[in-house]
Amino acid sequence: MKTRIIRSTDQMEKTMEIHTLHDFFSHTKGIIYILIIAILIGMTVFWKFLTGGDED
Amino acid sequence: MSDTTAHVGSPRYSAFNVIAGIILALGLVVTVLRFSGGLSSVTNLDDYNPWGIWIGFDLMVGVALAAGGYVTSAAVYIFGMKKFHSAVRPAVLTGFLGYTLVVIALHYDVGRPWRLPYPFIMQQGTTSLLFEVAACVALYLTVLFLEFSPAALEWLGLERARNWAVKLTLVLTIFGVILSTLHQSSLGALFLIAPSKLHPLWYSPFIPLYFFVSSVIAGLSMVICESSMSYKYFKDKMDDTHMKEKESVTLGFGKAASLVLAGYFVIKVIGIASDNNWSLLATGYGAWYLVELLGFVALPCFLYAVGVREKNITLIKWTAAWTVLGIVVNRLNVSWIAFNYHLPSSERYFPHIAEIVISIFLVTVGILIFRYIVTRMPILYEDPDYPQH
Amino acid sequence: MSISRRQFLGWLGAAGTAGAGAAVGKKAHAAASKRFEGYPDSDGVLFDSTRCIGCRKCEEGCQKVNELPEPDRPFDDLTVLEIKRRTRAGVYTVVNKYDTGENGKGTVFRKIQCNHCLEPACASACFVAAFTKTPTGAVTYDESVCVGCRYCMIACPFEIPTYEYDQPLTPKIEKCTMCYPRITQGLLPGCVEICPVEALSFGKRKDLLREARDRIQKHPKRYVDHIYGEKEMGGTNWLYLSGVEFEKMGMREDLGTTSAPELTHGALSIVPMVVGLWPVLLTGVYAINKRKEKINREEKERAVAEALGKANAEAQAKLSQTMEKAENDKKTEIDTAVKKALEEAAKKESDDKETS
Repeated sequence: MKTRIIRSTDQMEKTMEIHTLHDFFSHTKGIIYILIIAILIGMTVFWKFLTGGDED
Repeated sequence: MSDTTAHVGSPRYSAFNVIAGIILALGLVVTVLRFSGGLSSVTNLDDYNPWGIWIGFDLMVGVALAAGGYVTSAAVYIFGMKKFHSAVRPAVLTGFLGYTLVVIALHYDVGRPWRLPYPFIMQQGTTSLLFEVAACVALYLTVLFLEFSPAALEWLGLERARNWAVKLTLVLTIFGVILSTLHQSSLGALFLIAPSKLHPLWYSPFIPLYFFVSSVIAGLSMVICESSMSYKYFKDKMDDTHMKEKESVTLGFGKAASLVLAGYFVIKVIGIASDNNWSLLATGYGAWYLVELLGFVALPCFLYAVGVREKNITLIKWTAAWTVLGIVVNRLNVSWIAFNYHLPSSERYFPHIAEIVISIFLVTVGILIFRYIVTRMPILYEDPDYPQH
Repeated sequence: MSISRRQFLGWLGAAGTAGAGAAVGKKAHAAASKRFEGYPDSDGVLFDSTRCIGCRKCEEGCQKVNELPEPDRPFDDLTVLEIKRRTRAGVYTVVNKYDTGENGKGTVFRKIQCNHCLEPACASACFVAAFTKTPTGAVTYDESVCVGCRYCMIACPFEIPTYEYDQPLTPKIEKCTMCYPRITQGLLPGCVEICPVEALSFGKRKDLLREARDRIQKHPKRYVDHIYGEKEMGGTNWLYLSGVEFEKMGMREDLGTTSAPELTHGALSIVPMVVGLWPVLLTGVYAINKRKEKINREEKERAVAEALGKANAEAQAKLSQTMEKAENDKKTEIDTAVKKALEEAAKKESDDKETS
């Protein structure tokens, strides 16, 4: 049974750090999607503001 | 409305109506089977081939062919091509119906259709390109609904709401172009995750770009097709402006389609070069790829150009139909023919007859709703009470 | 107004920490400066095909501990090995037999199940985030959010996830969980526990890699010099050793080492750029056209006005000319009339004179 379980002694590290590219992207893309919604609204408002001085 | 019923009941339509009735009945039978026996009772899908023609045709082709809405409204409202104004409403209607049918088709395909809003309300799988597609399709369906609403509101006589909706035209058009750019390209990008399954001639890092550019071609060609079909069947619903602009729409859109096809051809060739796939062209898949590239991209590009130079409306119309077929071929190649190319033929997918029934059923439903709307609402003519300019 | 620079920087720092604490809750390094190598102490399984005897015990163990449906053919019926099988609904793992035709190595067996990728394609593809890469290494699936779109099956390069196609309303994805509920309790995965020949070894991935290298080094003739799963698709927690080329056991060696998130990241990162720049471009084009229209309109108006002005002036000139002429005519007329009258009067006078 010597090769049934191969495990070094140190304990599983409990951490909140991001270890996978997948988690990193879910994190960053999540923020980016919120930004996208803000951009879509913000751009509309900004366009209104920018062209507010036009005569017609 | 009496004239409409007389029109629909005319001999030319009765044959159509009978066939449509049979298709609807068959579609309803398959619908019952699907939701009582599961996908295995009506599809040939399996664990190797999780996506069939309900995704490859109904979703991929449906979305591409519904691109006329954003292409036309962008041409008129952003690029200032006012002479195409009469093409906007039919194109937006076609787009709106197209996307509606795509979403209906998804209800057949996914396991638990009532969970379709889950990506937004439960957990956001932000790393998925499908999340991006879902978000954009949901938003764009709303945009198309609002773009279409003035026609319905004019029909209903709700003037204030109609005027409010018309005021949104520019912002809706811009949103429409952004959302369409994103999800048209992302539909292609869905396959980026599976380089080992899609044949290298179709798999390319540029596939999102190919899908976006070809959606413009699909949109332009569909507007030409839709316009010539409308003229054939709903001539009496067209006003003078529509009649007068019809020819310039066909010529103008044909010219644009030729130009975009030329660009598409170029970037496809660059794609082969950048992946060094030249040698693959000599294989069986390569021959089929060349059929697509030369027969459905280069040829229509040339035919459109000839048609535009010689003002040959008939040639342009047939080229448009051919180009639309080419888009169908391309989307089916990516999602079906060249997908799982590595599997032995016994493990490949071929659609079940019931899958084809549902696809035809949905197209028929689309045509019937289109007919219902254009015979009632101001789509092919301007409501005299609501001049648009 | 006496905010010192240090104070301001301090606020920035505080805001940064608070923001990160509230919105992030995780320590995220900048992508450029950090490589992600997976959970450092994640578990895995090493499958040594040179030890596998094709007894199907692992299939049995899997079925028992996961309470899966009974098999079509009993697990001791080894004739099923003659046909190529794959994972399917209710079957998380299968063993296949391959005739390699190589001298001395002949028939080999391979166990198929989820490879538990370091960067799972299924998790990357799922639009409801139903898959989780757990710190144990196991990739788990949450049925309660699954829509049933089957994009995970498209994405998986190893063709592992399966779907309950016969369920009309409640189909779910099924795949091996590396016995996640068991390994979190310190138990072995069902297949590893039951294997009679130690073809399967469970342990930390890094230890398994060391062990695998060790075996290759000690028995260079027995093994091909390749640990399948070390780098494939970014690496997997399930690792394989073989005495024959992996391709001869139906394992694709052309998958490459690029992980799923890397494959899709480029396309995804364009999305916010389009959202940022398309409005600028489109409103720009709109504004240019509107301005062009305005200039056109103004030019037209000016031209009309000019033309009108010119026409007016011409008309005026003509009018005054006519008037002058008319006046002249009138004058002449009057003159003539006066002259005539005078002449007539003179004539009358002379006539009167003559008659008188």
